[in-house]
Amino acid sequence: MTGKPGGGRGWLAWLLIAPAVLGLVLFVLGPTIAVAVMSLTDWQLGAAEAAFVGLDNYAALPGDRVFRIALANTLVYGAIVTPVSVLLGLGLALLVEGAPAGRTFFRSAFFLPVVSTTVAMAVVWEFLLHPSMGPANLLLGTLGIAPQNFLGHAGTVLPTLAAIGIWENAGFNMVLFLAGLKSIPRELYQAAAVDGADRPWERFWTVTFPLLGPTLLFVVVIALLRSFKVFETVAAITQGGPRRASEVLLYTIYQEGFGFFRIGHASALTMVFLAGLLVLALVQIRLLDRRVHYR
Amino acid sequence: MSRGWAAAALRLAVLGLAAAIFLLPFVWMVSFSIKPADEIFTGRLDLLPSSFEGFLNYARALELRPLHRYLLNGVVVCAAILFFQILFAAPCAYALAKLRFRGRELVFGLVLFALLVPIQVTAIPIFLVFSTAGLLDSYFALVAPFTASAFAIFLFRQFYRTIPDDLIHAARIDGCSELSIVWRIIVPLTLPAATAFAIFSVVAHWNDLFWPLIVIRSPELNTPPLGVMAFRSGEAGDRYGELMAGAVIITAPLVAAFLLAQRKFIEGISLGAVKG
Amino acid sequence: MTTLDIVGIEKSFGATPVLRDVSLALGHGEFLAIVGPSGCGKSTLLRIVAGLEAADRGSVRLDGQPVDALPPKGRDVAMVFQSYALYPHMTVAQNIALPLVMRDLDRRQRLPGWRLVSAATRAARRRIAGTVAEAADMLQLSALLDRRPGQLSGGQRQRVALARALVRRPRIFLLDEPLSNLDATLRTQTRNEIAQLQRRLGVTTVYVTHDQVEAMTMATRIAVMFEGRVHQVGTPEEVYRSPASLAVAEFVGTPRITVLDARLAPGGVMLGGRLWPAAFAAPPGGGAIGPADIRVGVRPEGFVLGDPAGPGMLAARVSHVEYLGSEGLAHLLLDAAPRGAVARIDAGLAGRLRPGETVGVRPDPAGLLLFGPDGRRLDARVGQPSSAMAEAS
Repeated sequence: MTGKPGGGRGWLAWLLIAPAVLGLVLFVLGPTIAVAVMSLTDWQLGAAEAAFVGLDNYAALPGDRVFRIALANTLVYGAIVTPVSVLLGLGLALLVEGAPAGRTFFRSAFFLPVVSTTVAMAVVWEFLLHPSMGPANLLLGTLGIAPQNFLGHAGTVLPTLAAIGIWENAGFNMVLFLAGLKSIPRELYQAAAVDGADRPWERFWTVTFPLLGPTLLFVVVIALLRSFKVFETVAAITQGGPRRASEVLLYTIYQEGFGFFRIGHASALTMVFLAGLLVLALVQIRLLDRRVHYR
Repeated sequence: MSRGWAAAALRLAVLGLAAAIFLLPFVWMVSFSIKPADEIFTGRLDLLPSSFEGFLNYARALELRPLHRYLLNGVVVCAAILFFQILFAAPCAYALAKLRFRGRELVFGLVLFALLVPIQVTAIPIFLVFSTAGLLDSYFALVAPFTASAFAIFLFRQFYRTIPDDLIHAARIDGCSELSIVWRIIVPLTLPAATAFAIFSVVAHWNDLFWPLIVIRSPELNTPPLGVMAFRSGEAGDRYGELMAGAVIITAPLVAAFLLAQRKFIEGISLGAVKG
Repeated sequence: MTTLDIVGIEKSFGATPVLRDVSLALGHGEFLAIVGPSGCGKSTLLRIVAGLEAADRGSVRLDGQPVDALPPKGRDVAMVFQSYALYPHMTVAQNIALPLVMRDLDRRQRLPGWRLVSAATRAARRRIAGTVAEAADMLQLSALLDRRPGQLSGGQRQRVALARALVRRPRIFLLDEPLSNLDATLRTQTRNEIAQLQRRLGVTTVYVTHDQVEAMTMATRIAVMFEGRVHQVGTPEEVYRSPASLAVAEFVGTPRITVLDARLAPGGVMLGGRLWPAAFAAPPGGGAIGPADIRVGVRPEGFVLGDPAGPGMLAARVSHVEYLGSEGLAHLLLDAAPRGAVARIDAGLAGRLRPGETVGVRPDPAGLLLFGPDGRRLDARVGQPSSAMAEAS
């Protein structure tokens, strides 16, 4: 019939979607199913054969010391980076939004770490925090504080990596908050002023914060997701050390899967990681829904 | 009036201090990259070297490792990934947004699912298949897993949904064939969304370490992050001037691009929030 | 100059019928407005004429030739959309030129830069630029040719859409609610402009709108549609004076027609406690005039106000009065009109009437429109009612 979008031309639609669907099946859906299946086996690359072991890999996880450490470290890392980088991002956004001058400069300055290659900056941080030559310790020295081996000490390595993570992510969160702030109608502030809330903190609590609330929840979930994917700094600087003090989930998966080729075990770890992502994604979808209704 | 002035000054002071802290690593990176070796070890905090040796560290860094080769690999890999992502995603997104066909819900469900699954989840099976097929350690291995981007499909679909059907009807009435509709209307309209996505994609894949670390063995195929890893663990490991120069070389392209088109970069990268 | 025949068009979306046996015929250069509430199928009909939708049954003919198998491109029709559908990435000039570029240049000539190679292409491009300039001039767009749609006001966008439609002198003009996104002042002004332009160019035009004032003021004939059916086609005056159905009567005319409850009775119509003698052209109810509830429509100018005790007067209470300067409107409450009545009155009276006041109101028998239980018009001549309060039902 005559040209009408959407009218019974299924073959054209399938022609258009075929390459993408093929790619998604080959590189996402298929592999995800494969991981789920492999997590039920004791397969090790190079082993003569693999056996179906049911949920044994999962049952063994709670007793696996490395897994427990990695999970705990990942959660601690997330528990530090998320609140600090979110609150810092919010503070920076509020400051930048109301800056009398240089808004573009400040925004770019805080966003620069997001753009920079993490691995390269990790190497820079490693040097800056070098126990003897690093400028950070030289700076502490001038204040009369003894040099610290931030990255080489089990007690400080994770907080130090978290600090780098905060430096990396605060600008990203700031940009999301800036977008949220921009969507608050000017009239609301004028209305609040007419209604008697005209001091800065009154404005913040009556207008900004309630309207930014949905954005805040959204940014928290995003920040959690990003912090659970921490890998680059660990792989580049500490390799999980010293004494596994910076072992995180993705690094464990990487080592078990591609260092020791314990495919079954690594697949089970991957499924745990995926489960975490799914939970956060569900929360995120709920929040996105809420955000739409809020408007 | 004077209170407003004081508040503004305080605000600027806090912002200035915060910006200084955020920029300090960059400043030090550049500073040490132009310092001669003996000055790095003196334990002094001067930003500028007392004896300027020019860009000796840069020359030596390039001698130690073919950093330009790594950058080139980065360009090739990012360009190839982006090319296929848009080539596959745009038609698919258009069909999902504008055409009604059997199985559309199913396909969109697949896209939403794929949106959740990062490379870290699919890495093991893809690695095993590539390994069996002898495809590891190649440009193909770096590019192929990313060619079908659920995120690109999702974004473009959202975008196409905002294009009114009447625009396409108008083009038909104005005498455009289906091909000229694509060429004259859809492609130009896709450009803004494609630009934002391109920035997101290039930044993500330029900086990605996880997947290249798994599939690449040959030094000549190193992507920029792999290059940094190799540089650090190799003979340059404690030659900090050269190491900093190397870090500058690897970070510079994206940082320069960012400084040239800040708004577009921020727009593109914050798209990632949808994805997490 | 083209004639357009729409013959027996039927269309359903899924199980929902949107067009039921719609037929319309337009002569050379005629301006037909299709008017009806939203969802009545008028836009779908227009899209079927354009070739953007396919009818389930029926046929569209241009100059007698069926065009149902032709794509929009082959029909040589132009359309103005409610959203204007301007190409946001093209300048005003490029927007207007696109139909000409697609028609006058071949695939090779359309390549960017080809004009550098080919003198013929340069000449064709020059001709197009000339035609675009002419159209732009006609619609006062000459100063805006290099802007993009995003930089234009609503009225300007609307004129660009018009220019794009008329630039190639199509056989048929189709306009789909082209004024609904404009503010009231601009709408009145553009209404006149479009009507004048259509008369000047003499292009056969179908104009779809939900605004009966637009339809009445612009078109030579109007077609009123409800729920996929054409209830009436006629000149604005015919549709106003003798509406074919109660729905048409209520839809056409501002202020709305007053609907009074009445009852058929031997010899006439019982209305407000009086018998109004009526002579029916065709006996209602398929023959026998039995008692049946009917409705009587009275236009605002069909009422006479006076002393409540006067002859033939119905008692009414004034709910409020609109003073319009040259005249006035009295909104009245009376027993026979459950939804109230509106009477046009002179300005002097409008200044004197007070809300709450009781007045007498008498419909002019010549203006009474009778509608049967099915809503169809009953063709009848009504005379003066009996003077007494006889035969109260």
